[in-house]
Amino acid sequence: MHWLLLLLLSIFVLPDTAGAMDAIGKVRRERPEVLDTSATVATRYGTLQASYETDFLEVPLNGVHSWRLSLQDKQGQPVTGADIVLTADMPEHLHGMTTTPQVQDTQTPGLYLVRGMNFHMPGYWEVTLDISEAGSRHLLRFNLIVGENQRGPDRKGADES
Amino acid sequence: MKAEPLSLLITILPLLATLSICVVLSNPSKAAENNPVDWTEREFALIQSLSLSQLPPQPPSPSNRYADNPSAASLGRAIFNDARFSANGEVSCATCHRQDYGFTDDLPRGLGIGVANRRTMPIVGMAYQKWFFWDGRADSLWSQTLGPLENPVEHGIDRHQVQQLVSAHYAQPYQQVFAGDATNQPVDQVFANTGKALAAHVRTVLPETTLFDLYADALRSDSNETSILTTAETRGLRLFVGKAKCVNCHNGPMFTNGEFHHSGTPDNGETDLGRGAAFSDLETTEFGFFGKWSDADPQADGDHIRFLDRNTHKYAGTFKTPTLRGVSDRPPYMHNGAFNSLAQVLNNYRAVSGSTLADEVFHGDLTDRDLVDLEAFLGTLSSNSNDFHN
Ligand code: HEC
Ligand code: HEC
Repeated sequence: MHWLLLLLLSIFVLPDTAGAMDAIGKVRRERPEVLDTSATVATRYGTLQASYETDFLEVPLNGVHSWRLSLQDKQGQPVTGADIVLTADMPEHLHGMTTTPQVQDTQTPGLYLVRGMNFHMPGYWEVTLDISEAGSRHLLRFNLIVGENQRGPDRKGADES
Repeated sequence: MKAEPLSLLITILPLLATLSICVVLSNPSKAAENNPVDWTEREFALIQSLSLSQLPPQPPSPSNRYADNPSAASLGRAIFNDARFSANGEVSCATCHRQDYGFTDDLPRGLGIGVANRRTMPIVGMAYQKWFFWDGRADSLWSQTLGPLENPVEHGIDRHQVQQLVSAHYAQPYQQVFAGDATNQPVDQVFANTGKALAAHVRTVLPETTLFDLYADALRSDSNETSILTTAETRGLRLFVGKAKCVNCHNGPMFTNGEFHHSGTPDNGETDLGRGAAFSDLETTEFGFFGKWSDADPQADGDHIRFLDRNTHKYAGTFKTPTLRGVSDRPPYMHNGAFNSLAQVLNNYRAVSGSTLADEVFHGDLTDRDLVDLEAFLGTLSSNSNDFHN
């Protein structure tokens, strides 16, 4: 019972407590205490599923690196030829990356290569995919906590001068 | 409050979802058990991520195939200290990058043949950087080193003089490293190679173990040696990785993300666009990462340049986050030497927090005691000796 109340309360209170809003209307948000950081996400009814992989045990902090991104439909079939725009932001800061990553097709159906990823601050990041394919459009989002693993930064393959 | 309804919905919905999960699970972050100063897991992980023991081996430098060549480094070292490479025979790299002063100098602006337009940067741990200069206008260390040689207010010579000097004084080591005759090679090639040798030397300048590193190691090894840091220093560390959010930019074992940020440094009436004015330099230089004299593979290497966000407006007035290792030993501070003490730096952070001057700096309300403790913590980032690995 009381959590329903809380939910209702939060609907009205949240926009204010969530913090400042910048000029283009983004809301600054603190990191939720519990965050689903899985590397596979799906749209609500499972129409589209996306997952990513890197060459690292943990997504690197301050290292320009690539993601291998796979798209599947509800039947588990690879989704080819999708038009994907990827953006990464830190909800706590209203700032994105210092790179503009680009999504490229690969030889493997349903597999895309994202080059130029760089998480330059530790903490809570959101990576949003705006995916257009076969006349429909979907938004998918990965949550990440970067740079807070005890193993410390990996280095293999990170891009240097 | 104006917001597009859709984007508001997108942002609120997941929040509501997670909020309800939080309510159900109600799971406050647990302190790491075996931990005497009861750091949370997150704090513990961040502290470790700053520790020198996390510093990976030097990453390769694909644009400079001599980067890890010891003979190139010793040639570079000799030139680094050689004041004949200057218009008046008195200025070497070491004039401004003083080994006895954390590889920088004690002036608000570097002083060579004339006065440089920015403060000399400490050049420790350069192998871990992607961009060079306060504005990152050089995309490799070796191309960076060519800048001061031809800068009229620094060394004040040109590449022809560099070729003559190398031929006259370093013909034999040059021949040994580059398998070519400095007198006969094209002037740009000799110039680029000189830069590559200088870079090989600069890469050998590494940070020293500090009190903070000993503390981080002790935490990890469970040795209970937490008295390595005083209460004030420990509090400062907690602020650094927590409330004060310094770790947002000063992160990793070098205490820098190597990126460009607004930190609200007063410009004293002299506008400096910093990173915002550097993108054109990156494109026009003949000694760039993708240029003729680079050893990089233009397809495979250099994604940090290829996918760089070149939004001049967004980066106007931003500067490279400097390392904080050794910081208390080497005032003044900031790209323009605006502050003479860490206390001034910290006061300014408090003053600009959350303002448009420094849109990425916000850290609750720092109290006077917080500033004192932060300063105490910064003091633990210096080693007590002046002998750097060199
Ligand atoms: C007159 C003083 C002076 C001399 C001489 C000088 N520097 Fe510098 N150095 C500076 C200043 C000032 C900057 C920052 C300039 C800027 O951002 O525009 C700098 C920046 C650097 C950086 C960039 C550090 C970073 O974190 O991006 C490196 C590396 C460096 N210098 C190496 C050298 C080498 C090698 C030489 C000799 C060839 C040299 N410097 C000679 C003053 C000097
Ligand atoms: C948004 C990124 C960012 C955050 C957050 C940040 N800094 Fe900085 N810091 C910078 C940049 C960029 C500079 C250089 C600014 C300039 O040259 O004008 C700098 C400079 C400094 C310097 C001077 C170092 C030198 O060699 O000149 C100190 C000390 C410092 N910061 C400490 C801190 C502390 C302590 C905090 C937390 C209260 C903090 N910083 C938070 C980006 C940041």
